[in-house]
Amino acid sequence: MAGQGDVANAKDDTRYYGVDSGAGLTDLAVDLSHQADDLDVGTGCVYEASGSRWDFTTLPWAIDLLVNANDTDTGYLYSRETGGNGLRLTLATGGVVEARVDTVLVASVTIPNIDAGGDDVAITWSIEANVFTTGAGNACRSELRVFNVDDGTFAQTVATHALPTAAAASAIWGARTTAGASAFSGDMLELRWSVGRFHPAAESREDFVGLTAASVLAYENRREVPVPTRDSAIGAHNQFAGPVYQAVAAGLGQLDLRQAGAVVAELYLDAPTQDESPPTVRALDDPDGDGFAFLGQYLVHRPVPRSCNRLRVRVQIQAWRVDASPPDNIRIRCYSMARTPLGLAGNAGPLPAWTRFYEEVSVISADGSGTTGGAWYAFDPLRIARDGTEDGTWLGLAFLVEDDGGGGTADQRWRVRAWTVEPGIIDSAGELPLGGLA
Amino acid sequence: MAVYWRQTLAGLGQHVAPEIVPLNGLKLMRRGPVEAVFRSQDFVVGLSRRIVATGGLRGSETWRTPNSDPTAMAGTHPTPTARRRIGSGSIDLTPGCFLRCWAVVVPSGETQLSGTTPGGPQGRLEVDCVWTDRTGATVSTTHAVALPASAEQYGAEPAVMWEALYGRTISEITPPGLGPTDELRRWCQHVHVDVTIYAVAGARVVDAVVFEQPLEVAMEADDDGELWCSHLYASVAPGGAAAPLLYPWQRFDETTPDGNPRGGTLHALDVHHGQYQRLGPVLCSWSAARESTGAETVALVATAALEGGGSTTFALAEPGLACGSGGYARRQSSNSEYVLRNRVAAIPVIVRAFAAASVAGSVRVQTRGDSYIDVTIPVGAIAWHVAQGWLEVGITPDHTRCLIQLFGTSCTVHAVTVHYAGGYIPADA
Repeated sequence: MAGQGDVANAKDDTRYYGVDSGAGLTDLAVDLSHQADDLDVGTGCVYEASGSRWDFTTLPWAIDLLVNANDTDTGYLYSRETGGNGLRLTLATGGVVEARVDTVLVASVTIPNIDAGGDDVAITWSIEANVFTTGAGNACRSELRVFNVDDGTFAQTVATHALPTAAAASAIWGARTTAGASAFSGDMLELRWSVGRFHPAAESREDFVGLTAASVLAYENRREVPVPTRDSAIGAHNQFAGPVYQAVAAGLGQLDLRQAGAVVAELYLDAPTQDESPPTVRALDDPDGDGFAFLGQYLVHRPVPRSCNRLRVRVQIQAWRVDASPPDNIRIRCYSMARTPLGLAGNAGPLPAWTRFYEEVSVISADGSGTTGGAWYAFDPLRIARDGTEDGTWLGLAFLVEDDGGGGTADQRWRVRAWTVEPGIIDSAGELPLGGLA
Repeated sequence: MAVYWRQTLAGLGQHVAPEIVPLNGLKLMRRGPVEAVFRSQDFVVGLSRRIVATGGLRGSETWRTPNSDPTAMAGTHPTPTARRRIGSGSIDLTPGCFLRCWAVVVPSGETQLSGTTPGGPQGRLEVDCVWTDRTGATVSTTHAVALPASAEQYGAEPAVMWEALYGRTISEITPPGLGPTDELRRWCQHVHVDVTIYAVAGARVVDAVVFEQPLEVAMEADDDGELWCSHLYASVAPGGAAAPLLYPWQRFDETTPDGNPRGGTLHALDVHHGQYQRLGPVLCSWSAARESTGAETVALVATAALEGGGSTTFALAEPGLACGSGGYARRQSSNSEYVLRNRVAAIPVIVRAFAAASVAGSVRVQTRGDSYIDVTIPVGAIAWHVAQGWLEVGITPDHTRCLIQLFGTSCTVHAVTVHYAGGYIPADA
């Protein structure tokens, strides 16, 4: 019997997972979750007469289905209802998925681009507590989503509603009754019931639509270390204290970046068009003599968590020429500086050293001057030149336009439409200890 | 009787993770390695430099306050009391951290009293805060710093701004009366703060940033275990003296109420989970203010990108904000390598939009085609509106998919803030 870890989509919170491997309902009745507790096969459905795993009164939980349906298919997808209490998930004609709590319609969403020929569709319903609840009537927050797997389209409805009332009836997948009343007229391919964790859209997509390509990451990552809670009683008298402290110590090693967020988050409204001749009041030739011009509208002084040693910088640039010549090479540097190039006015005493680091990108692009367009350019990891407080750094952008392909540089234009900087750690030598890095 | 502990966090050094090896199995339980765990738990909140709000030139080439003669025409210059919102943010404070403001400016420009009467070159930077404690009670404060005035004719800016940059700091932006420990403890309960940065009169702000700065933390013996984000093991400061541990598992005083929960396994677990539930990044804090025109908001009718570009749907090539470092808040239970296979991350967040609407509108924060949160903007004047949800984020800052894009429909928007909210409990809950 397969179990948790043997089947990719049978996870820690999965209480039932059925997959049609060709034998239809017979396959779907086989529970591939770690619970390994098979369902029964009914008429047009699979079901379990009772069972605590279907408890939907304790949040969060999630229902996921992969089905093949066309625009005329209808029927019950999941139900557990008694006397007006419980849950119901159905499909109505036209690809309308409807979620009901205690028979009240709480959310509906239409499958995008569903057609007569049928599409593979992932339907997911995730519920968690509504933290902004004002009473029992909106204690829950639901996300009802549909992914048209065949064409990649997606739709979602978010709703708040009451907690469903417990129902002792059978949990039935694919029909209203075990005898096949209101049976789903399409094909059920995968069914999953999960308890104890909210499934965000990203998880449903990764599980039932397709895996995102893995990124090659140079920056250190962090994640929560699994540590039992107080309720587990592992920390109580007559238990082992050592494992608790060891686990908490491991967790502390992952906390050094926990609160490290964006240092620069600039998304410019009405981004001005720039050329090689910026306003003289704003420009400063870089003291390194490389011909770059600092522009004052891109100078910021920002705090950086002390544990970080590099900055991830990106700019979104839209470039074009006003004549027909080939685009020029716009070289852009992002500086991290211990102070501004000329220092601050009004400060007594000698200027501290102008410690600075920079990285550079090159933009040769013909994006046009429309209201959309351009591309993101990522700088190599930027070392941090900390200011006198050790808490901050000065960040600035500098520009240089070089002729590339003739036509001179006077007709080159560009806009900086966004500039983002995020802190992190590069440990290419693998020598830095977790937590507390210089 | 209330029993308090407090620690000073200002000037705190770097977080140092405790050694794990001495805590491995088959080793004698010793005080030192255990104490290192407690002390390390006290350094964590002091790491925060989360940015709450920013404002300034933000790409503009010109100032709201012109270099021209104020007597030439009425309405060309701001009045001496005119306040312009240049940035706003709204977050739940890291317990023990309050706020600090750094600003870099050039000399302030000319003002007009009424008509064309000059008011003289002058400017201030003001930071308004509305602090909400856990009972829902609010306290408003204003923190101001005077800015240098231009000595040029008509209060013009210097010929080269780089030669006349001035730095200004508002060191401690806090609620009033943090001296008594009970009042400090009131504001160390993961409280909420709305922040607005104003440029007043002829202020010319190149860049202003309001960010979290560790100051002091206090807790009370019977505070709910889930609210502790620091162990408060040592006295005075995390590196201070501490009472000797008696037994590895035992808290200093098991009495309830008014005991001493510190110094044992249960408290270590509570603090661990408090830190992972409540501490996390501010993904972005963005404002629509533009220095060149003095505009504070952007108004949208049909669905459009808030930055004014032509996009109406999410597109990775279009401009936005970064959310790669959001991956630092990955949770073991919901987006570990097993759950999301180390391809993407998704974290619970709270989205706040400072916006108004004349017909019901919405603001959308989106990080992928199927990852977005809509904040409903009801009919009414500008105010903060909020929504909970989950956003896909990168795993690290260099993750190839780490972009936030902002859209709006039928609303007028000044600011949007997105922050981690793993164990979010609103005030007055």
